[in-house]
Amino acid sequence: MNNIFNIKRFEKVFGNDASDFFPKFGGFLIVLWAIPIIIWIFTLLNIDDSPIKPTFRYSFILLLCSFSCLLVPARLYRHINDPKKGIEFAMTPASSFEKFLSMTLFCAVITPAIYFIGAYVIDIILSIIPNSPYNEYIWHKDVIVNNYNGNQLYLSVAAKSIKFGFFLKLFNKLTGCLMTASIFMLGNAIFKKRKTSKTIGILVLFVFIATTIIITTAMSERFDEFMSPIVERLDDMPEEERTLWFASKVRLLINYSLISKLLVSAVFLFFTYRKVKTQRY
Amino acid sequence: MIKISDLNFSYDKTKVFKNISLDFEKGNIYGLLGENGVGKTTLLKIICGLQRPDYGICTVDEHTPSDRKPDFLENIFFLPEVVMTPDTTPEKFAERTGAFYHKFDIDFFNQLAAEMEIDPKRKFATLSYGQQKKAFIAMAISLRTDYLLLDEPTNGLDIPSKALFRQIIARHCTDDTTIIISTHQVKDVENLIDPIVILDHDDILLKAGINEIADKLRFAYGTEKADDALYTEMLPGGFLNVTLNTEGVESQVNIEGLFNAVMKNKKAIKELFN
Repeated sequence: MNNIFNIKRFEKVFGNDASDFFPKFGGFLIVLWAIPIIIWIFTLLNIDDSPIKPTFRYSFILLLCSFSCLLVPARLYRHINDPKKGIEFAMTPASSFEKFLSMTLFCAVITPAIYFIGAYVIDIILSIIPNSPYNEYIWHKDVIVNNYNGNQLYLSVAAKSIKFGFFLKLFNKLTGCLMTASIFMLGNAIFKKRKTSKTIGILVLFVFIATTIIITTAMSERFDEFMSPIVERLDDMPEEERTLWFASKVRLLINYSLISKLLVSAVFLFFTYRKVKTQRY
Repeated sequence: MIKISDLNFSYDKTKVFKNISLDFEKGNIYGLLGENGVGKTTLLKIICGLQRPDYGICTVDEHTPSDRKPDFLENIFFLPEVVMTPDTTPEKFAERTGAFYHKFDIDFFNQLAAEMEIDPKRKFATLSYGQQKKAFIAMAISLRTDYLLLDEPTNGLDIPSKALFRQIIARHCTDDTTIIISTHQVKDVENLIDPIVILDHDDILLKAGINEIADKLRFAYGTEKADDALYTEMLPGGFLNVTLNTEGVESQVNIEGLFNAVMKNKKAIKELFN
C-alpha cells in the first residue's frame, strides 16, 4: 500500500476530523454567525434610517471568514504537538501527508466555506425581513455594480469587468484565508500553549517591523526622487488616462498580492507539514 | 523483530541511552524493568516512532519507526501510562481507531470489554480511571497488532483486574506477536513476562529468559540470611536469599528479588549473563 497517499486511508482521516469539527468548533462558528445578527438587531433598535450597505456586509463576512481561519487550527488540532495528548494523532496509521492534507482542507477551505455559506444565508434571511436595515442582498446584480463604485472603481477597471472584479475580490480574500490558515496552522504546530495569541503576537511584531521599514523608506529623499517624475507625469495626464494608469497599477498590485499570498501560504504550509512529520513526543 | 543497535538518545544534555543494543523477538512477552528515569518509556517511544534516536539504529521488521509510515503504524500500538480519554464512548472510540487497523474486530473488543466488566456504551467521562484504563487495554488488544507496547498497564487497576489483565495478555500472545510491558509493579506481571529486560542509566543490565535466570540464580526462602547472597530480603517468617545457582538447584524466579539483586550487583550480574 502507498505510504504517502491512499484515498481510503485519507477518507478515514478526513472522516475522523469531520466528526470532530462541530463538537470542537461549532460553538465558535455560532458566535461568528451571531455577530452579523447582533449588528442587525442593534441597527434595528437604534431606528437609524441609514441601512447597512451590502458592500460593507460582504466585506465584513469575508473578514469574519478570515477570523474563522485564524481560530480553527488551535481548536481542531490543538493537541498535535502535545507530548501526551498528541500520541493518538501521531500513532494513527495514516501518512503525515494525509493528516496534513485533511488539516489544511479543514483549516483553509472547509471552515471558511461553511462560515461564508452560513453567513450568506443569514444575510439573505435578514434582508427579506420587512423594514430590515439589511435592505439589499449581497449577491444582487445592482449590488455588484454598486460594489465597484467610488473607491472600488479602480478595482473594477483593473479587473476589466464588474462581475470578474467581484470574483477577483473573492479570490483575493480566499487566498487571504489560505494565508491566515497556513500561518496559524504553523503557529499551532510550533507553540505548545496559547497558540493563537502567540501567533498573533509574532504577526503584530512582524507587521510593526515591516511598517517601520516601509515608512522609513517612503520618507527618504531617494524615494521622493524616485516618485517625483511619476507624480509630474500623472499631473499632466487627462482624467481618463490617469484612471486607466491607476487601474493598471492596481491590477499589478492585485497580481503581486495574490502571488505573494500564495507563496507565503506555500512556505507556511511546507513548514507545517515538516513539523507534523518530524514532531517528537 | 525489533532490532536496536548502538542506540544513543538524550533529552537536551541528559543522556538516556549510550550505545545500547537489544533485540526483541516475536512470540514473547517482554518485561521492561528499571528504576524511575532510566528510560523505559523513552525506549518504548523510540520503538514506536514517537522519538528518534540521536545515533544508532532501531528497526521494527525492517521499518524505521521514526518515519511513522502507515504500513508500520498499523502493526504497532503504544498504550501510554496515562490515557487521554476522548469525549465519546469506548465502543465508538474503538470503532474509530480500529478503522485504521486491518485486523481490528469490534466483536472481539466488546467481548474483552464484557470480560473486563466495563460498559462500552457509557461515555469515558462517566467511567472510573481503572475502567477507562481497562477500556484502553481492551481496545489495544482488539486491534491485534503484531507489536503491543504497554507502559505501566496495571497502574490504576484493582486486584481482580490485574489478574484478568495477566490472563488476557497471556491468551493474546501468539507466535506472531511481541508484547513489551514496561512496569514498576513487577508483582503484577509475575508469571507473565518472559524474557526480562532490566535497564539502568544509559545501559542494559540484564536481558534473559526466566529459564536462563533460574539456571544462573537461585531464589531460596529460609529462616536465615545466606552469607553468599547477592541480595537478601526479610519476609514475614524468614528471608528471601538470591544467590548464584552453583549447584543447579531449581527455584522459582522472584522478579522483585531479581530486580533488587541486579540493582545491588550491577557489574556481577552483567558479567554473569553476558
